[in-house]
Amino acid sequence: MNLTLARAQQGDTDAFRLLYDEHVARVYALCLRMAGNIVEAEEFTQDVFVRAWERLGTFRGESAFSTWLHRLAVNEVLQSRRSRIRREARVMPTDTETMAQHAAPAAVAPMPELEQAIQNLPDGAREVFVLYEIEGYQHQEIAAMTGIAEGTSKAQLHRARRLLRERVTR
Amino acid sequence: MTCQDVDLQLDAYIDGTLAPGERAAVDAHLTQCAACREALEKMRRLLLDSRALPQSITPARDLWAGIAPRLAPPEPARVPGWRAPSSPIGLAAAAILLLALGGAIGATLSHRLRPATDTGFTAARARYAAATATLAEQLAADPALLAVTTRSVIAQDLGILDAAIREAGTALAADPGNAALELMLLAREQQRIDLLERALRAGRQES
Amino acid sequence: MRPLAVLLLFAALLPPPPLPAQEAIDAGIPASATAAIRIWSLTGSIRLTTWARDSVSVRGRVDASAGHFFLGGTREALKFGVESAAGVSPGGTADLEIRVPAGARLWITSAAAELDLTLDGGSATIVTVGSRVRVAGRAHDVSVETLDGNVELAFDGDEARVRTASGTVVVRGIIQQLDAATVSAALLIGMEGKVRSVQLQTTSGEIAFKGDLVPDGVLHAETHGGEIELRMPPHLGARWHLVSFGAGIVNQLVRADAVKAGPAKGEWHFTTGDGRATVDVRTFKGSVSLIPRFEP
Repeated sequence: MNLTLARAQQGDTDAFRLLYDEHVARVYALCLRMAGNIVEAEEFTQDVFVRAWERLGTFRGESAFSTWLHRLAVNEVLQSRRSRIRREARVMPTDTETMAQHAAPAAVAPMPELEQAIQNLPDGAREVFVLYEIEGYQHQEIAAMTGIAEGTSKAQLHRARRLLRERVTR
Repeated sequence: MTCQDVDLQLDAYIDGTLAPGERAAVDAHLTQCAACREALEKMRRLLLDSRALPQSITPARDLWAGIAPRLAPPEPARVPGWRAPSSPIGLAAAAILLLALGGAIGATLSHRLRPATDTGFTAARARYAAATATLAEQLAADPALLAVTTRSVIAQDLGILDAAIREAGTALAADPGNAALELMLLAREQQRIDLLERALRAGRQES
Repeated sequence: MRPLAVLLLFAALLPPPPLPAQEAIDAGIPASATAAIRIWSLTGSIRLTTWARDSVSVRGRVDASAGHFFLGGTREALKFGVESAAGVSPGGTADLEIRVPAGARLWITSAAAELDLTLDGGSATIVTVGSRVRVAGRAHDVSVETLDGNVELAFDGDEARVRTASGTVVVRGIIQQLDAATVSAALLIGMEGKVRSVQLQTTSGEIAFKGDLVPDGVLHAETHGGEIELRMPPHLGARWHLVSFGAGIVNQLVRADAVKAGPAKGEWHFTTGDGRATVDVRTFKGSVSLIPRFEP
């Protein structure tokens, strides 16, 4: 097992900081695309690393640490989104297509058109599109992770692809 | 087949999951319909572009500040080879193992399987030392336990392990707290335990 | 006539020494396709293959001094082999030809018998003292534990675990998760395919690995004083982490300026390609060679 990792597993937060530095960009990219907005993406990224710290002891080295962390990040983001949506449903409409536009700070560097279009997809379609097309999961795995039916996953992918084809000009 | 039919099947077509017959029908339509060909091409390009998006994006600000205060002290550290079985199934399996291996090794194993309350390198070494002593005594107690040739193989390998442990120990004394050295030293200790346990098992087989 | 010639003549006139008494074995017993089968034979040889039948067949011969043959159990769980008298080391030999259903789960216990298994699925757990062990074919998982027997794994499969003290381990099949350790013997691993996880450990034995990893694959090689040689494709995307306290590292994989020292003394690291796989090499005083491997 990687030494930095072994140290972090023994409670060394400096070692964990090194792991954070090494993996944060990968985790953030996933969170940003899954969340569809920067505010949530930053929160989710922080939650993922706190969760990883808590669960570091369960990592046994059967897969690469990056794979383990990635899987944990997907689950964490999906769960957080579910509970957040339930919470927000009581107080406000959950149209995150508009929420995304409100939440994005103006100062952030402009994003490629495709990236922007993906972020603006409706929640369900975006999650499936990101997991399937960018992260390489299969419908069966997505269904198991998100709790939707496999057919729903396929339908959401279909919807996402069509929306993107309409919205991306190139 | 109409353009609408083709559009409905485009996903399966692109993903290669269409049945051969359906695929041929879509192909036939595509050869005749420029609009559908263009739609297919655009979709393919879009998906290629999506798959080529960067796997990493650096956050605009440092997020560590929001993480560090939330890092509670972890559960007791785990040393390789000293994992306590946590699930009931793990405990049951361990119990069966104890029965199967008999009293002497059982005593050593139960010693090893006791949940670690005292953690860290020094404590781990002390536990290895105790377990090693028990096993070595057991092996020495019955000179007839193993064939002479087997015994000499084990003696030779134990010598190699002891020398490695001494060398790593000396290096560690000169560089205390070196995590890599600590892990290597514990790896050798674990190999010594494994060898002694296997020797005892082999002895039971031979006799 | 010289004394030696007299002796020889005398010897020729004597009747030949009696052959040891032998038991001929030809037994069959029904077994389910996934039966748990325990085989016990301390000496001689076992040749085991699979077949597409719901039964086990055993043929061979057993010297009386090696013990006597026994066979029993149910379709789901059966046990057979050669039982020697308690407390007596077997003298003669026992040679068994065994056929089992392809999906069988095998447990084989031996002291010195040569074991040659050709599997087709299923699993095997082998515990011996000094047997030479060879496993070929296909298997779900195989575990071998021996003190000084040499082990050859020439099967393709999901998982293998090998522990020896001074028995050499040779791996030629493609095994997705391999965990092999020796004290003083060599680990010689050559796999013509990408695998998921490889853990190799020795104290003084050499470690030679030739192979490739899947994108998120993991390779750990750890030794006190053995030499480590890794031959890996230069296009493999991996994070490499090397620890060495007293030995040279020959690195032909990347340019020297790509290798960074730290975080602690004796540690180096570098990244190739997308860095998704993990290669972790640790040695106290054995030399390390990282050599690019090009497809033939």
